[in-house]
Amino acid sequence: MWQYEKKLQYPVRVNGSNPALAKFLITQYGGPDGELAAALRYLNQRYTMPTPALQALLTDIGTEEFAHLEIMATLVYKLTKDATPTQMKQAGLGAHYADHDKALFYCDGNGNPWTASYIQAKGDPITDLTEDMAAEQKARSTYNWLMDLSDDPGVLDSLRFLREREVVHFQRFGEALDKVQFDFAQKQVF
Amino acid sequence: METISAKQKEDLKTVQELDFFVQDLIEYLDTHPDDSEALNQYKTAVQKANASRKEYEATYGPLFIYDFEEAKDWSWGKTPWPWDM
Repeated sequence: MWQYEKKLQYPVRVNGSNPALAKFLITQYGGPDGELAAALRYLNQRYTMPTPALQALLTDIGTEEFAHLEIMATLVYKLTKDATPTQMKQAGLGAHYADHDKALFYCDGNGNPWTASYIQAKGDPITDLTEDMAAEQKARSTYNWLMDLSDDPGVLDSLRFLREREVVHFQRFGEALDKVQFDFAQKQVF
Repeated sequence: METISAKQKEDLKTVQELDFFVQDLIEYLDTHPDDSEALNQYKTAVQKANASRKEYEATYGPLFIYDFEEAKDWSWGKTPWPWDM
């Protein structure tokens, strides 16, 4: 089960309306390396992880990704909520406005809807943990490129936090992979 | 939409910082279950985070729906949501 806490994991401050920046940020909400994909990838893979410790790690990181999803949603929401339809159009969000008004939607920066083909589950812990490490690095790179595109110091602050969490999760998945490979070598499990 | 005072933001940030430390320790302990020093840090961090959350909630209303047993009215849907703060 899950329970909600009525707060963000990390504060979000934005320096006024900026739908052009929101158009780029949306990819970390519903794009290929975004937070929805991260949460759903780990929480789906955990069932077939071979040990309770690995299932714990996937559960706890997967849960944190939902907190990151909420940070991305808050960024996009705050940057678009006061934009007029004309400003949305000028920011390249005219098509988004036509389909969704200013509702959020799980899509990448070009409006392509989220798809389960962004994630994988092979049932092999070495394969899945390797995918998870790659996913964290892809998300870290995306946050780097988003920071290059951002001139709002509040947005940069949130993106810097999220980028750092990708680095930490990459480290945790790497430690888990080392343990799996050690256990395979010892033939203690599986 | 509703906004909150600078003081409330600061108080909320204290809760966020303490909770974040707990979150980071949880994931560390998942891959280092035999690190007794980290386990002790976790125990202290959880106590501090819980105390800080209760203190914030006493002033500003609930963050967690199970912390609402002393409630005089149902403010869950009255206090601002995170994206409107």
